Amino acid sequence: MDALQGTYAAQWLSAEFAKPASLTYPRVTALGLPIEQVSYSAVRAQYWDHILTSDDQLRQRMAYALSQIFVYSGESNITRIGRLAHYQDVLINSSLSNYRDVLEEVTYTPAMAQWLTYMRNRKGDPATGRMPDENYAREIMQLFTIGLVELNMDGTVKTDGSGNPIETYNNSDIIGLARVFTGLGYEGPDFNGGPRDSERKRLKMFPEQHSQLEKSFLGLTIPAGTPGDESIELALDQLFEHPNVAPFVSRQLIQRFTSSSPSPAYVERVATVFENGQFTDPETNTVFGTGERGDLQATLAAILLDPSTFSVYPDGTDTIIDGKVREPILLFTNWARTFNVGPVNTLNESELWDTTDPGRSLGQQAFHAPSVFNFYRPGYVPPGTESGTANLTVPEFQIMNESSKTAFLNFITKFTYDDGFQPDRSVATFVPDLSEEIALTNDLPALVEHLDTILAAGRMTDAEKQDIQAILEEMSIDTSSSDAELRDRTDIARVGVILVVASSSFAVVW
Amino acid sequence: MTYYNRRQFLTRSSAVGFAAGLGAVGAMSNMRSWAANTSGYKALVFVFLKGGMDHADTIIPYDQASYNQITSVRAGLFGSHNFNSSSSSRNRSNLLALSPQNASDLGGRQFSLPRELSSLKDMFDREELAVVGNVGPLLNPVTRTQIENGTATLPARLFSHNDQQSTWMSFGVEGTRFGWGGRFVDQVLNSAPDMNASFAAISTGSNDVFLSGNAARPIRISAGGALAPSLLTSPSLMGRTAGDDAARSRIEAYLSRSDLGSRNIFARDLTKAQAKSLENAEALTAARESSTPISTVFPGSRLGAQLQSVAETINVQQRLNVSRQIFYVTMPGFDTHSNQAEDIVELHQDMADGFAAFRSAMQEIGRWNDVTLSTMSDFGRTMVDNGDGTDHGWAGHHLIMGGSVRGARLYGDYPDADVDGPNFTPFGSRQIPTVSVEQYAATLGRWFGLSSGELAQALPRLSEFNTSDLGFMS
Repeated sequence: MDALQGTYAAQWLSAEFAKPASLTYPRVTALGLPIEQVSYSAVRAQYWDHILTSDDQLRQRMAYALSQIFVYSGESNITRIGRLAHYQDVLINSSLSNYRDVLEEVTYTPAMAQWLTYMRNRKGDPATGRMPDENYAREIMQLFTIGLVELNMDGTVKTDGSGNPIETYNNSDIIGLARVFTGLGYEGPDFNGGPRDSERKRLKMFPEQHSQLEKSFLGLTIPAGTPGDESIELALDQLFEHPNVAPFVSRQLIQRFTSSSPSPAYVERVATVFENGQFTDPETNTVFGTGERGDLQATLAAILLDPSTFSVYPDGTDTIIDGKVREPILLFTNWARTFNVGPVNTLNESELWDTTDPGRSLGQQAFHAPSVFNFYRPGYVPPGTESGTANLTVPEFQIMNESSKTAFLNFITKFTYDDGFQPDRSVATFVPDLSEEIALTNDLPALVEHLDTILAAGRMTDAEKQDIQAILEEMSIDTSSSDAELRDRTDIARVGVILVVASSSFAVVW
Repeated sequence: MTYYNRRQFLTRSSAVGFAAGLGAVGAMSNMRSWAANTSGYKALVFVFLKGGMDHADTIIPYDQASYNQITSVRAGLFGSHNFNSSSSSRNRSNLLALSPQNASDLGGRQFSLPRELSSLKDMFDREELAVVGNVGPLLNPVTRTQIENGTATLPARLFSHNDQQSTWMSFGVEGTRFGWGGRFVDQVLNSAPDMNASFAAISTGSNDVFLSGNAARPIRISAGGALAPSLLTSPSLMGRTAGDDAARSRIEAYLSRSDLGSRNIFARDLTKAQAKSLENAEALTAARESSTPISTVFPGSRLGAQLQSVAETINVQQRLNVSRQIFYVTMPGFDTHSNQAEDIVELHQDMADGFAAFRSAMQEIGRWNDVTLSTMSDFGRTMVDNGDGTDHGWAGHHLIMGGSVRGARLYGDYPDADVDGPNFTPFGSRQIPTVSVEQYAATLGRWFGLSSGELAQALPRLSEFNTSDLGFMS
C-alpha cells in the first residue's frame, strides 16, 4: 500500500495490470519430485512460495481475494494436487478480466465440481425419484453471485413494505437451477472415467447425463431439450445480470483490500464502477477497464484509488472507524516481505505446510478454509467488542481474537528466531534479514521509529513505542566478545520486530 | 538460571486473581429460588456436527418392514453401502438393534445404530444415552398441509447451511448476535456474579454465535491447553541475565495492557484481545499446574483433541472458580452430498471413539453425572438420495449422553420413509420437525439450573410448543 501513496498510484496500478500472470502449476511440476514422495500438505504449501516470490503481486492479491469468494478447499489426496494447482491458475488467469469470466471458468473446474459435488452429477430419474444434486445451484447463488436478500447499490439490504428483507430466490429456483449443473464430468471418453491428467482440464459436458427438462429459475425459463453447455451459458448470464451482483461482489472485494466495514457510500462508488465497467482516476485521468459490466480492473482500481483510502485524520479525532484488519495470512506475508526472508522454500519449512490450527499456528491457510463459507463471513459483527457495539462488520475478528492472539505472537516469534522446523536442517530457509535492525540497536528510539515506519507506516501509538523501547532497553548486551555482542544485538532486533508485528497498529491498515 | 520461568509466570498468575486456593469459591452455592440454581457443578457439552448429519443413516429403521421401506426409498445410497453384502455395515444383520425402554411408544417399529457406533450402543444399554427424534428449527408447530397451502410460518432460509447453523444456535439467520448457549450463561452469571465469567463459555471449535451473550464471552481453548507467550516461558529466547528477566517482565506488562492509546476502533479491540488472551492463559496455567492431570487417552482426531480440552478444563473447574460451564465443540464433514457411504462410516467411527473417550475421562474424574453431551447439526438430510449422497433437509435425530440422562429411550418422533406422507415437505423429501430446537434446549437448560422464567427469556418461542420438557434429563 505504501506504493499507492501520492500521484503515482494509478501508474503503479497500470504497471501491475500489465504484468504477465505467474502460475502455480509450473511451480509444482518444477519441483521435479516424484509426487508420491512429497506430502500433500507440503505441495499445497507451495502457494506460500508463489505469493511471496511472484512479481505480479496485485494480480496474486486479487486471485487470493477471489479465492475467498469462490472458496475451494478441503482435499487431502496427493493425486489431486493437479486439481488444486489448476484451480489456483484459473483464478490467477481470470482475476483481472471480468467477473462473468471468473464465474464460468470456476464452474468448469474439476476442483469446484468435486468440492461442491456436481462432478458427474446426473439428471434426475423419475423412476427412482433421484434428484440432481442441488449443492452448486444453491452456493453459486448464495455465495458467488447474488446472495440471499435483495441489495441496494450501496450494499444495504432492501426491504419490502413491512420492513422485511426480500429473499432473492426460493426452493423452486434451486430445483430449476440444479438441473443446469448436470452432466459435467472429467474430460475424456467416459462419464464415469477417472481423472488422470483430466483433473487439470476444463470439465466436459456429457449430453446423455444432462437434464432434458425445462429449467426455470429467477424468472428465466430454459426450454426443455436445451443442451448442457448452452444451458450453463444462459444460467450464468442470468445470474450475472442480477442487480445484486455489483454491490454483493464489490463490498466483499473492498473488505479484502481496504476496509473491513466499508461505508455504504464507498460500496456504491465501487459497485457503480462494476456496473459501468470503467473507472477514471481523478488525479491522472487514467482510464481503467473495458467498459463492460463486471470489469475487474476497473473495479479494483475503484477500490484502491477511492478517495477514502487516502483519508487523513487530524490529531484529536477520538475514534477512527476506518481501515482493514489484515488477516493472519497477510500479517505473515507482510512480515516475510518486509524482512526479505530467504531462501523462500516452503518444502523445507514444515510449520507452513498446515497453518490452520488457531491454537498453534495462524488459524488460516489459503485454499484451506473450513467450509465454502470461507474463514470468516463478510457480515460478521464481533460480539463483545467495541466494533460490535458500533455494529461494524469485522470478518477477520472471526479468527483473530483473544483465543488466537497469543498463538500468532508465538508463530511470529518462532519465525523471527528462525526456529521453525526444517526437515533438512543443513539448509536455512525463511531467514529474515535483520541487518538494518541490528545496526540500529545502538539507538533504540531510532530502531523503534524505523520499525514503526517499515511495518506500521507510522501508525504506532506513543504508548506502544515507549513500552517497546523500554523493553529493548532492559535487554543486556554482552560485549565480552564480538560473537556475544552480535548475538545479544540480534536478540534485541528480533524482540523489537516480534512486538511490532504482533501489535494492533501493524494489524490494522488505515 | 534466572530466566523468566514458569514459576514466575505463575506468580504473575496469582496477581491477576485466579490462582490456586480459590477453589472454595466455586463450591459456594446460590440458592435464591427465583434465580438460576448454580450449586454444585454442571456442564453442558454441545457437539455441532457441521454440514448436516444424515439422521436416517444414523438411527436406522430396523424392523423388517421399515428396513425394506428405507432401503427402497434410498436405493442409491444403500446400494453404495452395498447393503446386500453380508459384510456391509448397512446389512440388516450387522445393524445394532436398540431395545428402548419405551418400545411400546413406537408402535412396533424398531431402530438400530450402525456398528461404527457400537460404543454409543453400549451407553444406550447402560441408560446413559438417549435419542431425540425429528428435532429442528420451528417458529411454531407446522403441518405439511399448512406448507402446501402457504399458511405455515417458517424459519427464514431453511436448507441453507450457514443460516440453519445460525438458526440452531441463535434462532436467527447468519449475523444474529446472541446464541442460546450464551443466553444460558448470561442467566447463570446473573445469579452467580462472583463466578469467573471468563471460563463459563468455552469453544474448542469454530468461532460461532452459539456461546455469545451479553455477559458471556466465549473463549477458545485448544488441546494442550493454556497458551503462554513463548518469549516469556522459553529460556532459549532472548537471554538469561537479570536485564533479560526485567525485559520479560516488561513484555508481560506490555501485553497485559488493554489500552495502548490507539484511536482506531479495530486496533483498540485487538489490543483488548491480546490482554485478555494473556490473562486467560495465566489463569488456566495456574489451575492446571495445581491439578492432577487426566490419564484417559483420547483419539488423535480433531474431535478427540477438542473433547480432551473440554475434559481437561472440567477437571480444573474448581480452581477456575466456575460452577456452570457450556462447551462448544465442532466436527466438520457431514455435508455428504456424495460419497456418503464411505464418509459417514468414518465420521461415525470418529464420533463414537471421541464420545467414548470423553465418557471414560468424566468417569475417571467423577464428573459423568454432572456433564451432559448432546449433538446439534445444520439439519437432517433429504430422505430421497441423489445416487451416492443426500441433500439438505430439515429435521434430524439427535443424541444426548451423560450420567444424568434418562437413557435407553427414544424420545421425539421417527417418521417412516413415506416421503409423500404428512411428515415430509411437499417437495424435496425433507422431514418436517415435530420437536423444536427450543424444546430440546429447554430440557437441557432446566437440568443446567435455569428457572422457567429464565428459560422463557433465553428461548423466546418456547411457549408456542406443548411442553418445555421432553423428559430426557433426570
